[in-house]
Order: sequence, then structure tokens, then C-alpha cells
Amino acid sequence: VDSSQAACVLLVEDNPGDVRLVEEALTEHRVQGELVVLGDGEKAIQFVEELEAKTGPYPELVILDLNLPKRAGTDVLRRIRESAVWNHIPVVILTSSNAPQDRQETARLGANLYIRKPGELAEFLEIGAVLKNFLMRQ
Amino acid sequence: MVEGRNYSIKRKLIWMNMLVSGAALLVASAAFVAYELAAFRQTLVRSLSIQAQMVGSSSASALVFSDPESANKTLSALRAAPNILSGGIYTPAGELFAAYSRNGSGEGLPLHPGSSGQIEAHRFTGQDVMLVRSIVFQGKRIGTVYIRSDLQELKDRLKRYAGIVAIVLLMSLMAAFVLSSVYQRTIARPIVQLAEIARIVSREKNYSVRAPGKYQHGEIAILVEAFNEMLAQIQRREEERKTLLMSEQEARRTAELLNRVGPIVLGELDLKKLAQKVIDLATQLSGAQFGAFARVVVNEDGTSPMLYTFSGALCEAFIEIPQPADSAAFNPKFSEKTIVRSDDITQGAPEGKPPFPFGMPDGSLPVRSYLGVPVISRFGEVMGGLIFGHCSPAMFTERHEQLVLGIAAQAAIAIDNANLFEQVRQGRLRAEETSVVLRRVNSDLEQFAYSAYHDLREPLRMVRIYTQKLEKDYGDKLGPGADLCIRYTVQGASRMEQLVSDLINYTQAGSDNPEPAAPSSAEIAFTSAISSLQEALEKCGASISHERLPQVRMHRAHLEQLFLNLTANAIKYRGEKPPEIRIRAERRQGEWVFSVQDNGIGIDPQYGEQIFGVFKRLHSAEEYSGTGIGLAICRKIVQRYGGRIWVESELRKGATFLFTVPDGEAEAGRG
Repeated sequence: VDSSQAACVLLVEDNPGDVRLVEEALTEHRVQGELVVLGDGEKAIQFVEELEAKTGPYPELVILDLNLPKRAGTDVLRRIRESAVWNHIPVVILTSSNAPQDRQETARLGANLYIRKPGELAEFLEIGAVLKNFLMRQ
Repeated sequence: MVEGRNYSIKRKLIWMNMLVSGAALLVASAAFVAYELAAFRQTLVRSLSIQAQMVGSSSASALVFSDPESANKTLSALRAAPNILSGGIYTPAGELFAAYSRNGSGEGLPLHPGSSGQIEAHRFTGQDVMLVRSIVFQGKRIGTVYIRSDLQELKDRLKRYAGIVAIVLLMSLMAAFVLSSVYQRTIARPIVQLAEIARIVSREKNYSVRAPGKYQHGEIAILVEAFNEMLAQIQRREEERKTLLMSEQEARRTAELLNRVGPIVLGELDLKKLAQKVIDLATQLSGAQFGAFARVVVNEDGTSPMLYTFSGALCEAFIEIPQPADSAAFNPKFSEKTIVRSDDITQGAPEGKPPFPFGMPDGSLPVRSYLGVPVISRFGEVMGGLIFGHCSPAMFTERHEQLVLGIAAQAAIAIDNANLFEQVRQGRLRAEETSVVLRRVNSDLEQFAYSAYHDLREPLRMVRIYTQKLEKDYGDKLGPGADLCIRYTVQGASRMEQLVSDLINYTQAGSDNPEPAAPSSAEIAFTSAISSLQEALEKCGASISHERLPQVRMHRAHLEQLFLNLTANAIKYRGEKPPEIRIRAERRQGEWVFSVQDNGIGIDPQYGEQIFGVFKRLHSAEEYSGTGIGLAICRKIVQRYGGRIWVESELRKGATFLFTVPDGEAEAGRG
């Protein structure tokens, strides 16, 4: 994967419907590159550790759901921020939760952005624009 | 001197006796001596008269014949009488014819002896006595004889008499002294004794002494008897007074003891400890060597065995005896509600009482004094009894009985209290257990509702978004009718979302703040609720009015939600005219009654209760939006504070929603 031409985005999300919508949103805003999708928190943590061992290549953006099977999204976030090599990679929280304690805890753990999953299709597709901005800044 | 106060009655009596007898004797002696002297003088005068006659007769011839010589001879015969001092014969002319003088001189002769017309006359002087007698011869007075005698014999006799009288008087007085000394005792001794007893009584306040009553009759006997009677009365009154004083003191002591018992006993709510305290105190205060508190305990299975609590020095011996409850005399005694006191139970039972030993195992304890008192509840039922024993006879008195009776009464109250306390405690425990279970169930339910809310929302979001996506991507390819299908799907999902959201609101309503509410201003809550409805109010031209609203014990957010929901309903269910909404608060019997009145479409009274149910609606979603949760939330909030909510309305005549909030201050005032 040529990271200079096409972005590599890691999506940790167990709901296929939302995976499909994220893909659509990225496509809608012409974000090209590989989208790695992991369905639970444990797999995500394993992935982080594997790449640490292989020293890359690392994704340019992580999109993280909080309500995940096996290990919670916050555990994944904590593991990412503990890693010296993953530490600088931006993490966007994409969750259906609107609970203030979730917002506060993820911010404390070092999440870069918190997006609540919208209930309208158009709003969801607009997330693509936000994610594109993040990648452009990289 | 005799009247002097300092002399005893004894001396006075002796003096008086001696004085009386002395005086009597003196008078008698004087009379006797006087009589004797008078008689002696008469004898003397007669003797002189005879001598004068003899001299006269003998010298008559001498006178006739003027023979003085013969007359002198005759006169000298007077010498034989030693008492005659002098004598003389006078002529009728008064001239001395012849004379005689014991000492030979004639100087003692008076010149004119008595010359009265009488034949004879005499005259006493201090030293002598003179007698003159006429000498008559042949009926003719021829001269006068004169004789003078001394009174030596009279004086001697007088002296002798005086001596005799003095001796007799002395002896009489001595005899009187001796006699009166002996006989004064008859009078003086009882009086002296009375005086002595009176002294003892007044000094020692000893009213038990008595005057000896050996006098059978007379005033002394009456006096002694009356005195003794008086003493007896005083003694009786004194004893009565002492008895009264003692019984008063005892009553006071008993009251003091009972006053001390009260707080000790009444403060104890544990029945076992209470029974022990009661019997310990009662045993100590009654001075018993052992005490037992027999209590009837009613078990849940209907049995009512006796429980025993023991106290005192002998209680160990008592406890060792197997099952003292089997002693037959217990139950009859206590069921009779009578007090049994015996000075010595080994002497048999008092009349009309059950046979001994009461509650005493046969021959087990060397108990003689016995006291048994029933413990009777305020409802008159026998709760048990207090039994006391002592190895010595007659150890329990009326006072002990009263004391123990007092303790029994307090024990009854204390046991009633402890039973009540136990019931209340059990009740509270059960209520607390129920409350804990309820809280847990409630918490589980809230937890469940919360996760259900989230878990239900996610699939709904999917349904919505993918239906939108279906419409966007394939809307034109699905053919006619698909639009409607898609719209209903979206509407259904939206409504479902709303319902889930309302459900979670309902679950949390009123339970989001478990702290007890401080008074908050309904005025402020109302203003805040209205401000968030401002737009809707203006849109429909509603007019809203309210009276001054009070402070109530309610969290402000809850109060605000009530006003918000009720006012929003008044706007939503308005009629054709612009809404007029009135909010009022009125105080009624310990609570505030709030009302929200509108002029809207009203409610058929038959649905008055139904509308407060969860998701209960009287209209379709097309007519009026909403899920039917608003009034359910209102009811939940009102009920959380112990209030009620209801509606007064008729169809098309507006509706008045009323809810109550218990007035905390009024309740505190009542409490």
C-alpha cells in the first residue's frame, strides 16, 4: 500500500450497516485508499500490537466505535495512546452514544474527534467530509 | 412562810398539821388555865371572906366594948395564914380600931378600906387582893374588917400551868409532826408521784408511764385515774401520729423508690433484659433472698409457656430445680390476679388461697416468707407474676407489698412498651426489606429501560437511514406505491424512536433526584416552564394568567415539568377560540392544590382516569401529535411526592387539571 497516494483508514465497527455507510461517506467525498475493518475490540488491540511488532505500515486515521464486542472502544483507544508508534495517529470516535461521560472519557484518553452517529442518511454521508479534512491535514 | 412556793406539798402538809394542832392546843390550854385561875381566885376570895367573918365575929364584943387589945389579939390569929399580908378593923366612923401586919409595920394598911354600902367587897390589884367586910352586931353595923392577901400562890400556880402547857404543847407538836409525817403520805405521795410522772412525761416525752393505781376510791383515785386516762389518750394519739408519720414516710420512700425504678425499667426495650432488671430491682427493694419473674410468652404457634427470670442470693438453688413451671400453684394464682402474702408458708395457706407452696417446688427451698404479685397489662390480662421468698418468717410487710405492686405496674407498662416497640421494629424491618427490594427492582427496571432505549434506537436508526437510502438509490425503480411504503416505514421508525425516548423519559421521571426536596418556589418553576412555551403560546394567541403561587416541598425541575406538560396540553388540545389558561394554587387541609384550567376541547369524563396511563391517547396521531406519555409522567411525579392528580372536565367545555402537593410545614405543624 502506497500511503502517499492512498490513505489507509482503520475502522473498528461491529455493525455492518454502519461499515457500509462509512464506506459510502468516504466514497462520497472521494477519499481513496484502503479501509481496514475490524469487528470487535479484541481484534483491534491485536492489530495494534501486530503492527507494533512489524513496525508498520500504520494507518493514517482510526475510526472507532465505543460499543464493541469483547473489548470496549475505550480500551482500544487507551492501547493506541499507550503505544509509542501509534500514539500520533488521529482517532475519531463514531458512536450512537450521546452520553456526556463517554465524550469526557474519550477526550481524556486522547481522542481527536467525537461524532455521534446521525439518524439521517444525508447527515451520515457528511461525515465523509470531516474524515477527509483529517486526512488532508496529515 | 408556809405559803412559800418553794416548799413541797409534803412539808406544807406537815406544817399545816402542826400549826393546826398547836393552835388548837394553845386555845384549849389558855381556856383551861383561865378557868383554873378564875376558880382559884374565887376560892381565895371565899377563904379571905371566911377569915374576915371569923375576925369580925371575934372582935364584935371588942368593938362594942372598945377593947382594941382584944381586937389586936384576934387579928394576930391571921398570922396562921402565910398569904395574908395585913389586916385591920375599923370603926363605923372609919377610924382604925385594930391592925395586923405580917412584917409588924402598919404602913400597908389603907386608911379607908372599902366603905360601900355592901356587906362585903373585894378588889384585885397586880400584886395583891383586898377584901373588906362589915361587922354587924344585933342588926347594926359596928365596924369593918379589912384583909389584904398576896397572890403568891396564884403566881406559883400560873407558873406551874405554863410549864405544863409548854410541855404538853411540845409533846403534842412532836406527836402531830410524827403523825402528820406518817399520814401526809396518803395525800401527798400520790400527788408527788403524779408530779414526778408529769415531770418525766414533759421532760422525756415518754407517754407510756402510769401513776400507780392502788387507791381504790376518793378524789386521789379519781385524779390518778383521770391522769392515767389522759396519759393513755396522749400516748394513743402520739402513737397514731407516729404511725401516720411513719406510713407517710414509708409512702414517700416507696414513691421515691418507684420513681427510681421507673426510668431504669421503662428505658429498656429488650424483654429479656427488662425482665432481669425488674426482678433484680424488685428483689433488692423487697429485701427478698430470691425473686422470680414468671412471664407468659405468647408464641406464634399459639402456645403460651412461662418464662422465668431469677434474682437474689438463692436463685441458683432455684434454677437447679428442673422445670419450676410444673409447680401447680402458679397459674391459678396469677389468673386470679390476687396478691398473696404469707409470713410463713410452712404454716399452711391463708383462707381462700390455693394451697402452698405457691410456685414453690416441693421441699426445694427453705422459704418461709412469701410474696406473690401478679403483673397485669393495661388491658387487664395477666402477663405473669413476681414471686419473692425469704428463709426467715414475716419478712414481707404491707410496704413491701405496695412497693412490689408498684414495680409490677411499671413492669407491665414497660413490657407493653417493649412489645409495641418490638412490633414497630419488626414492621419497620419488613418495610425496609420491602423498600430495599423495591428500590432494587426499580433500579433494575431503570437500567433495563435505559439499555433497551439504546439497543432499540440503533436498529431504528438503521431502519430509517437504510429506508432513506432505498428511496434515494432505488426510489424510481420500485414502481408506484413504493413511496408510500417507504414513507410509512420511516414514519413507523420515527414513531418507534419517539416512543422509546418517551418511555425512558417516563422511567426516569421523578426518580432522577432521590434527595428529599427543599421548599422551592412554584412561581419560579411556572415562569421557567412558560418561557420555554413562549413560541407556541404566541402562535395560537393564548392568554395565560396565574395567581400568586406558593413555596412547596418539591424539586423545581419536577414542578417545572408538571407546569410544562399541563400547559402544553392546554395549548395542544385547544378549541376554536384562542386558549385561555388559568393557573391557581389553593391550600386545603395540609396540602396545596394546584389547578391548570383551559377552555379547550375538554375530555369526556369517562376517560378521566385513562388519560393518565402510559401511552394512553384519546386521539389519533393525525389529529393530535404525541405518544401519550405527558400525563403519565405528570402522575408519576405527583405520586412521588405523595400527591394526587385528576381532571375535572366535560367534553367541549374545557378541562381543569388538578394536582396536590402535601404541605410539609402543615405536616410538621401537626406532628
